Amino acid sequence: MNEDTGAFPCAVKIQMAEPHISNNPPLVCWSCHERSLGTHFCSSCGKLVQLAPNIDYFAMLEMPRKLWVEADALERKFLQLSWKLHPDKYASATEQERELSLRHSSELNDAYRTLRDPIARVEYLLSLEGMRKEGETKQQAPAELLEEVFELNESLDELREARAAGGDLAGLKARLQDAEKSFQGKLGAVDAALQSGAREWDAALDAPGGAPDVRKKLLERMNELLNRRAYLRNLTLNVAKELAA
Amino acid sequence: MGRIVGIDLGTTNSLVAYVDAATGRPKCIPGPYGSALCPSVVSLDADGGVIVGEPARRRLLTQPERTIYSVKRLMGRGPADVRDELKLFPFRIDAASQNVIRVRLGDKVFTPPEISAFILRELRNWAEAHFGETVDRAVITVPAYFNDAQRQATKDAGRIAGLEVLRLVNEPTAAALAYGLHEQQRGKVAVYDLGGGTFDISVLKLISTTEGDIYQVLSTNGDTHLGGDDIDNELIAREWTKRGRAALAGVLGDAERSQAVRAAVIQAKHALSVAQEAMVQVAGMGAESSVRITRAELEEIARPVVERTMKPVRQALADAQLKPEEIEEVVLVGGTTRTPLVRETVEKYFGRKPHIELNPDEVVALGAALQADILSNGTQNMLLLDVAPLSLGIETYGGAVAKIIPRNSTIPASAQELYTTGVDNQTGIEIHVVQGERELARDCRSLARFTLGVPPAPAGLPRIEVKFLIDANGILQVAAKDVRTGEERSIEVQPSYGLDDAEVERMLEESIEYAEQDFAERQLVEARTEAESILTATAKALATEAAARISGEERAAIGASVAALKESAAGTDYKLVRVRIDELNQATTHLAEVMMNSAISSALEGRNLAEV
Amino acid sequence: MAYSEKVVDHFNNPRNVGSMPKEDPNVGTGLVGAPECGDVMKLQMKINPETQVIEEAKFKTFGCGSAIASSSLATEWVKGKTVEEALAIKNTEIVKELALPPVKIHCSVLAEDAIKSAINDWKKKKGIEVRPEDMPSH
Ligand code: FES
Ligand SMILES: [Zn+2]
Repeated sequence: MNEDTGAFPCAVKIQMAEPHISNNPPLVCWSCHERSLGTHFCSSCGKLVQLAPNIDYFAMLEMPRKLWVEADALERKFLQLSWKLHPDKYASATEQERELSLRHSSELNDAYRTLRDPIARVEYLLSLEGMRKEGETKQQAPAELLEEVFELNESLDELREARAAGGDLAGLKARLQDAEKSFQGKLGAVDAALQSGAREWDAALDAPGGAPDVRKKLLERMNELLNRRAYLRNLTLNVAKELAA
Repeated sequence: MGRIVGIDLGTTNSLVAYVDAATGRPKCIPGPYGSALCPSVVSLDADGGVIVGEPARRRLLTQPERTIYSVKRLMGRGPADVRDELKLFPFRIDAASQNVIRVRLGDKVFTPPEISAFILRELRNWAEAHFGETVDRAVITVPAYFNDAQRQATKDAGRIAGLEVLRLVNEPTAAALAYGLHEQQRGKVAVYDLGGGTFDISVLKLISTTEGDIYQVLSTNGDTHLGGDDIDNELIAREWTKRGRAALAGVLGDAERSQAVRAAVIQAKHALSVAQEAMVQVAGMGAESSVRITRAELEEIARPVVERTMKPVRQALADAQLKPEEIEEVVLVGGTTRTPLVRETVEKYFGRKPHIELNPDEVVALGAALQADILSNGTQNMLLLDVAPLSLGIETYGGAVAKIIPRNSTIPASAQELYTTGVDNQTGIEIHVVQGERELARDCRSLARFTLGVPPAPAGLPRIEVKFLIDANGILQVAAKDVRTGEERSIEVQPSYGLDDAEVERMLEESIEYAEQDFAERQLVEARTEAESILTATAKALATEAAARISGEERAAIGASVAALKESAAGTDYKLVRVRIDELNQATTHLAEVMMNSAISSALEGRNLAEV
Repeated sequence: MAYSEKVVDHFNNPRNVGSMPKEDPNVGTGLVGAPECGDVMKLQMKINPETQVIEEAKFKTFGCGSAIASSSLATEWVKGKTVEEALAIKNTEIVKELALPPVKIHCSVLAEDAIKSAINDWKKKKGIEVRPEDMPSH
């Protein structure tokens, strides 16, 4: 069980706010009133611009919507933009510019936090592409996986009970360790499959016409992989917690 | 606008520093007793006057009931949080304390931010005396592991002290800034900061770019209730057992006696940083009653405290995804790191000698001064990227916490959440924001509760987007918007532990009554006093025989200057008064000479009238 | 408050927790999971082959409070119902009964899917054809 019985609920959360979609029309600069093409700075007067209301994380970091990202290059980009956007750089600017800098730099930090993690990056891309919405049709995981998950959960329960009763834990512990290994291995396989999916996605984007059919299939495949990963991760975390206790 | 300073508001000592414009280097400002360390002690005398720093520290022994130390331990905390502290610290918490603790000093009651504000005001006075100018803005340091309420309380203290708090900077980050400038360090750095009452560990990456140096915090961890105080308390307990209660009884009154023991063990502890053994000599008791303590004994007492710091250290490294051997530099900060055991333990864990070149008491204040300079547009080639020490979460179904901003996220950081209603015509959505790493809301720190107003509609139809933003100070801001109408919704955030704006305003007003007047007011009073004395002297001089020898023109000029000075002294511009004083001095220089020549004393040659 | 007392009650005192022998020819087992959270739910029912009435229902859920409450409610509801009646239960009814918030709808979907897949399992055992519209839709 993941939750406690005690407190009464107080917040109804729907989901992460719908991710933003880029390629919106250029805005008019608040300062020079020219049409501005820049993401962060006005292309005509150089001032911080009002962030486009539906800008996505890839656009925040001024990069294409690709999945294969070189960590060092991403970090360099992040630092370079931080240098220009951080509130410290606007400490004596106008109230409005200070507000803008707070918005730009917080979104930049959120974008970097998400995109530097390969799994979060895929997840984010899928939500941008409309694949991971609440209440959407989802495929049930294969029966063997569910069975395995259920059994392991039961072993965990047994271990908890055995511990509470003060029984001999050696046998259960060994089983848990085996299971942990097997699940770690599966997790590794999922991650590898996601990685190759990411490369294929980028290749499809570069293909003439952007290969929409290929990409649609890829999105579905990666979605499945992420679902599988959710079970596996939940389990490995629980097993690790139980083994550490 | 006045000057800007950096302040280290410590558990045991506080300091104020600035960046010297000529050298570009940060410097601590010494107080009236010659030291840059201002003991974080506040005492209230019988007629309501506030005493801060060294004299207050001395009053710990004589007037413990009216004196408070280590108030930082109470910042941003509720009465229930500090129950354990009360066994060890002589805080006299007022029974009427609710969300905010109120402490009794003599017959008056103060909140921890008010007491901290007295310390800040004292430091501000030091700085103003040093510059001869107003100081109205500051960067104040806080333990990296301080939560939102503790940060907010610190910010409130600044406001109550009449300072605009430009930024709260994490102590280890400030230290790294000072070291980075000093040592030209690059690469991955761990800052181990063990002070009087708090422990922080931060892992940073120092990066050189073409524009300048970036100090990027990768992770931070700590314990806001772990420090040298804990060692002191163990030492005190040891004294009581060694001597027996009877031996200590009858020496002094109860509170005074325990403060005398505290002072004695602290002195012995400091001695043991260099010596192998020391004597604990309690004031008011004969030297023959001293108790011997060896370094080995001290280490036995200090070991559990030092061990407790290692869990946060390991967590911080894990969060930064680094192994101890990947850390290129280790920096020690905080007075307690003078303890040889701390140095040995840290050196052993990281496999390298820690840096101790900069004074561990001063380094945080120096870093704060650097950040203050960065913000006031002085230093432009440095940038700090700090992180949020604790995860931000929302209470969800069954009391569980949904994390929306994970710990060690670079700040400013934000998260958007979309909310709706669960029943038809529900008019409010209650949101409970918490901070911490635990899974259940009740195990985390409650930050705020608020209700989103919703127009009546069928369940699930309203869409309210709430934006949570952690600003560069590590403080939470919340804004809400109705997605359908685009209408902004204002939110009354009721902080779980803290003062509201009106309270802070009122305290600011009250604090001025207690503390000394504003710098400008003080300057005006001084200038007026000086004007009065020069006016009196001038009038006297004009009445002498010698004055008869000056020309009518000169007499008229003096008369005009006198009138101008009188007029300026009736106003409130102390600078103008000073200008007029100088002018009158100029106008009377010749008169003074004439008077001197009339041989009152040849030794007075070259002086003007005011000095005669 | 957005949650009914019923949900809290079912969560605090879940009914029919347990399991039945999987091999029993009269027992149907449904095992489903929610990939969003990685939670899994097992729902079993003992069905009278003659009357097609569900005589007994048990569940075990490793998951959140809403999932536990949903499956607890589902076992209560299916008992005494015929297979056809049980197949007609919709997750929206569970949402309504328990006043689940939107974020917890997928937890009720889990319960509906579990009912369907348990009955289908039993049908397979009995050689009864499973209609495509009775497949777990989610
Ligand atoms: S959150 Fe997992 S089933 Fe409800
Ligand atoms: Zn412009």
